[in-house]
Amino acid sequence: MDGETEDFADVRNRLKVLRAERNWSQAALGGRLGVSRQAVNAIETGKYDPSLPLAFKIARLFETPIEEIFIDEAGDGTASDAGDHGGDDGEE
Amino acid sequence: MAKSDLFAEAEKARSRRWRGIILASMIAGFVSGFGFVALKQGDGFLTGTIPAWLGWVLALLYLVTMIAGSIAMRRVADELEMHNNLWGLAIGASALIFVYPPWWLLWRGEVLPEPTHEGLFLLLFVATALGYGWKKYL
Repeated sequence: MDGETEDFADVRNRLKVLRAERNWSQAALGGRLGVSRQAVNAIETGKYDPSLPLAFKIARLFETPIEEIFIDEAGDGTASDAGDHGGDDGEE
Repeated sequence: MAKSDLFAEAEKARSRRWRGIILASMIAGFVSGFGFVALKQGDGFLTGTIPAWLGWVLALLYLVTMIAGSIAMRRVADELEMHNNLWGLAIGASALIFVYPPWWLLWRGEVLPEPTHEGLFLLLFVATALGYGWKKYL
């Protein structure tokens, strides 16, 4: 349980910034995404990590790559880093 | 009205539908609960019997409310709400799994009184509500 909470805490996002740039309220963004204002608030404050489908929906809405909205603070955030890990696993 | 406001209005309408479903479920719960308590017989709390027809009516009311409420909730709820509900149900089920077997064993060992249906359901309900509230509000 604690491990899961720590994992959640490792992901931050730029949703609030992107929303502010468009001058949208949380309710307006929620309406566009088909989720509640509370869900937008929970994602912005890092209390809740969205599902992959919702994360992709957010990325499409803001026309921004998903990894530029949701940042994994546990790694350095680069694709090559993830690829290196995958290669190591395969060889072992 | 600006497009952004239209989306905000749509979200507010969804929230109103959500609150309506919760309110309707609560009213159905109160009606069935008060109906049961008002007509109960017996010496202790919930120890008496009720007429068969009332049992059928209340059981059907409960099932219809639960099924219709669940379908309506699924249509309106977003993934955060489903996530909170799932947590609540998981904590409710965990409470039952942790409490019931020891209670049953201690009853067989003549340490505690026999587990009661109402007590176990109350435990499930309260633990589920607390789990849901914890994820939603804290």
